[in-house]
Amino acid sequence: MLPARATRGLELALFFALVSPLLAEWFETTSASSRLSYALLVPALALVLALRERRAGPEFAPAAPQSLSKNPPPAESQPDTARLGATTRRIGAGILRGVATMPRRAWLSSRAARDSCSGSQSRAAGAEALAALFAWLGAAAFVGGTLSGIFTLTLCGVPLATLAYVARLGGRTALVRCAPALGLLLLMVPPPMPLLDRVNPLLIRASGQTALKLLTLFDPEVTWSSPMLVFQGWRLIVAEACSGSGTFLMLFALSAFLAALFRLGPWRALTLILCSFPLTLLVNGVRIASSALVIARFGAAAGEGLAHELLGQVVVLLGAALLALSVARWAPRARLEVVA
Amino acid sequence: MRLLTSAAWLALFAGAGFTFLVERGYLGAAVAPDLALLPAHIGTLEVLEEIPLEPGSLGTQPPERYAFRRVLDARGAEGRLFVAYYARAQRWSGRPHDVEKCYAALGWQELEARRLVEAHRPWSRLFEREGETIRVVHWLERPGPDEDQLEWRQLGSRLSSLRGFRPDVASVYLEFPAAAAPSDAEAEQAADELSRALEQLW
Repeated sequence: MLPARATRGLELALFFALVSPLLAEWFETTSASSRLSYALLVPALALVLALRERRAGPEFAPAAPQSLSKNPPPAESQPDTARLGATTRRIGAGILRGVATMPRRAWLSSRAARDSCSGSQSRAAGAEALAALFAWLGAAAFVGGTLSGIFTLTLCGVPLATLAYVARLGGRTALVRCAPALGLLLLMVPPPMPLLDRVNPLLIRASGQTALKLLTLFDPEVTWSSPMLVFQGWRLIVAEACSGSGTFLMLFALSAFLAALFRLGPWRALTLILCSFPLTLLVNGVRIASSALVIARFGAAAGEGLAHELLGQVVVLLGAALLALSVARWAPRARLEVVA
Repeated sequence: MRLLTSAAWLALFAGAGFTFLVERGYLGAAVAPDLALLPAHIGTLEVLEEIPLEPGSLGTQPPERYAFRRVLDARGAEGRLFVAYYARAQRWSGRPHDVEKCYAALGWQELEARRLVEAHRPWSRLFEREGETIRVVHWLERPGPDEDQLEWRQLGSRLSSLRGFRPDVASVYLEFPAAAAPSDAEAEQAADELSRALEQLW
């Protein structure tokens, strides 16, 4: 018989072998697409959060359940029934007190043991049930996604299986402690194309409007009729690839990571994550406007190929850096100290 | 409880195993069709010679195989047929691209979009650019079921036919000047016959 640890290791190895084609396709496609490449960083960022929680120790663990605090009161707290002066009398009194309180202590002790035992049993059962629930969900994602040919649904099985393993190995406490990391890990699954297809036209329109406002400073005659920008005689078509959906996904994941890293409260975290949308419009608007300015100054060639790609990446990276610096600057001090 | 937990882990591994078999192509491997063998007639359309195409114009993720042919309808109107074969459909990452996006990227404005009633439910779209109007009928052709939607019927047919687990896909479109475009019935017939021809080739 193999030790439990070795069995668990083999089980994990088998699981990774089974999902390796999925992960290989995920890696190949996300690394080849500038819009989806953010997803490559997500597991690494989730790991950073998980390791940070592990290193932080149990002080960040949630409060113990009520049943744990029902320990028997210490014997010293029992009322002293006899007040005797001499040592012998003190010993005798001790024996008497011991005998007198024996039934009560035995009862308290047995109740504490029963509470502790049933508490740990119910906690273990709860963790097992949670693990089973996530395992079922993971199985459903694998089968449903494969049958329907929806890759992103199939891929959801990987983070769900991770949730199941964490629940099984670390129980509910580990799930709660690793919740930010596990939540972030779900973002490794890119949104399905039909959803992006709906969002992209809205993003193009909104980004174009932002670019229009920025370019009005340089040319009041500039016009925008989605997806075409007319600036200083140039007609620029904002392609679907420049809709800003990649920027939005990257900033969304970055906001979620920063919210977890700086231990922001739920409302602050939600606000930060929601801010990724207007920030995307600003960044993409600047990207379109700067492309228009570069083309107007240096000609059409400057707005194509590598130069266009580099300009876009620089603007997006600046936006991401701005977001990170802003959170670092305005995150509550106390929480920053805890992180340090 | 113990049984339920064990069943959950068993299901997880069984699901992952099923995914493994499909992803690795053990239940149905891709078979590239020889597109030179496309029939000379599909419905009322006559398929003519190949139109020269710059490979660079197919984008950063070009299809593994393609055919770009001149076609004539029964009234002599000239159009174009494009069949692009992808060994691995990756719709989640935009491969193959949606045809309407390609046209939009080339500056075409979509005026109308509807689906035809043929089994593949092809899209029929009307585009306009600088006074020119074209009708494009397009669909995705798969070896198995036609729709990439989460439907019980589709799940059942994928399970009952191993061809449904094949990873390859063909993106097909027919383009005609709007004024001389084939009727919906003619387009549906062409889609049906081309689908059957492709089924023989892969």
